[in-house]
Amino acid sequence: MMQALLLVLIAAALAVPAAWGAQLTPIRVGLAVGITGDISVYGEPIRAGFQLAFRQINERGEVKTDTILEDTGQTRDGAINVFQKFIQRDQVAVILGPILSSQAFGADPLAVQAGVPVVGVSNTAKGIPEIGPTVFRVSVPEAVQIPKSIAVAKKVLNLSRVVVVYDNADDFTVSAYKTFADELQKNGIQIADTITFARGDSDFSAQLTKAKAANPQAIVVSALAREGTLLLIQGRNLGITVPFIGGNGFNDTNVITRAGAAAEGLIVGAAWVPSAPTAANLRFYNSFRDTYKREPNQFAAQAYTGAQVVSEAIRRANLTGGEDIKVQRSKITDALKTIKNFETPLGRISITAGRDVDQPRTYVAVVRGGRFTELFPPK
Amino acid sequence: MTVFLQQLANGISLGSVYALFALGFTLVFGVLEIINLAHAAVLAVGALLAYTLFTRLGAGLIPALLGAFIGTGLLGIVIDFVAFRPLRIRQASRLASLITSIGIALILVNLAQILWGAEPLSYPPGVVPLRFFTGGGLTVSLLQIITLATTVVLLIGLRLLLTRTKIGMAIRAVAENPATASLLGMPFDRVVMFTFFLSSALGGVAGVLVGMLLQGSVSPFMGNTYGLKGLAAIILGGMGDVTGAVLGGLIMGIGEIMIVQYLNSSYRDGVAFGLLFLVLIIRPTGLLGQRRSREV
Repeated sequence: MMQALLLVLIAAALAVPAAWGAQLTPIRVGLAVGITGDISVYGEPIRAGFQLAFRQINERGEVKTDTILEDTGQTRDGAINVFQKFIQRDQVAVILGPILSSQAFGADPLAVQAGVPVVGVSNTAKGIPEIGPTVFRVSVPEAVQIPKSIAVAKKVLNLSRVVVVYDNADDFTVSAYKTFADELQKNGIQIADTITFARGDSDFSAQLTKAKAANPQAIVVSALAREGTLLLIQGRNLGITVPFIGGNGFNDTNVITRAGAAAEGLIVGAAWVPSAPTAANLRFYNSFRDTYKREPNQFAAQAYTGAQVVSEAIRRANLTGGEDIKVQRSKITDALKTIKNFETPLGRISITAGRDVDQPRTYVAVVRGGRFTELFPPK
Repeated sequence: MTVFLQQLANGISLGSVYALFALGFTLVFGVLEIINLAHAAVLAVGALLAYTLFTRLGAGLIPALLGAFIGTGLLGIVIDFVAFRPLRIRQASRLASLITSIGIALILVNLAQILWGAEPLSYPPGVVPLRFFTGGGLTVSLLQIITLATTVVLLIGLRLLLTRTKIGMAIRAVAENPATASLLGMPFDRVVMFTFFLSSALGGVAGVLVGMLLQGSVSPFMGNTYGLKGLAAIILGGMGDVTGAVLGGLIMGIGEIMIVQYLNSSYRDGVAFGLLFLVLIIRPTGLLGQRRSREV
């Protein structure tokens, strides 16, 4: 053992400086993404973001990674199965994913138990990093974003009375609903009615008729993209003209494409807008468009950022790839905690002591002319 | 009052979709006593077929409906041939057919996902008749009226077919007693084939109507909601009874909507299954079902 170590040290000392700390074998990274099922609206851009980032990272050669992509589907069980495979069979050093907060609450504890670092790129519910000491995220939680959205919307729309409609069958939408309700109350906005539906529903005529009858100035919605899109379309068809205010689930250009004119006026909180004028974002935006021939969205940007953060942590962990998998896992976990003021398409972000993301610049966007544009409060 | 009327309109519209779905569902049950859980997947395939006809071939509404009707009808025959006929020949238990139908549903949904992708689709805006009638605070869309009318027309048509035509009488004879019907010279296999064609074709039409009614909901998974609700509707109405299926569907639709308005939206699905539970306890044969004497 001692001799082997000496040999390695000598070899390292003899190597040219550029190769210092160079990995011998790639680090295995598990990507848990829901590509099938209704959540594919998030899964597709997230997969695209991951794959673009890791291709660039491996081309640069500073860090070598071997990514394994698995489809979690849209269920908790799907995510748990994928995590089990990653942790036990594939012996990955770090996991990126899963997509939904509800999947994270189910699957992340397995990783915590095995000491595997997990970085969420789209989990925005409350309590994700609190799942355990190896759980991180780069997605701004709704608890941070929603207060901004409500404050801006209040000023722009002069809000005093709203109806809240939310999906009570999903951890993320419930968590966002609670934040919305608290924030509305803090801002002195009356909630005329609170109406629920369940993930998977397709017909919202009953809820929307009820909401319309309460005569609100705006309808606040906490829903995932599929249900959100249907709500927008059916609301307009039922003659609802007041604006909708949505959470992170709406934050997808697909919502606009599908809802068409019904999406006009929709207000959402956003962690990323295409027009963010930083060099890192421009690089990301252009390379994404060149590769996939379409515009990236917030989820792609967050996935790309997550991959960058993980590869940076692998670099900082100074791994050769030959270490015991347990060592790799714990070193990467430690390195993730050292990420501060790191340049990404989301701006300069830091990982806090609570393993959450600190992203100083976020946006409130409104759909105008079929595009998300930043919404500024009147001076 | 306007709110009540609006919700009633919403309920009838939702209920007619359940009814349309339940019609095809109950037909196969009535004849073969098979609960064909693949029916929900057939609904999705019908909606997706119409999507392709709309977008690729530029078909109008009627050709697309007809295309979905024939396409899913043929699919129904294939399903019977591949999945149920081998079981009938081996005289397998009904449970085997039930499990097989789940398998077929999984295969269909996944095939559909390969062909059409997983993301929800919308029919092109031009082909769907988007007209709304408003008055006295009420909004009723032309589509809602079309859906209800289609359900009623298909119900009447189906009843006439079953009671007034040769093939209909053959279906009822086979339903009554397959062995005797065969002995009397009824072409058993052809009758079953026709039943599957008709059942699946109805499912396909239901799919197209759902796709138009709820824009942005066309996907391989769109049938999921209707599978269980449809089953509840036919049990509620009386297994194997076509009028009962429509009645069951309408009661479920209106019930669900009214619960959202007057009780609590969280209880929405509870109603469907609560009603089912009640009916099974008080009247195990369903509202219109009679013991061992079936209409179909």
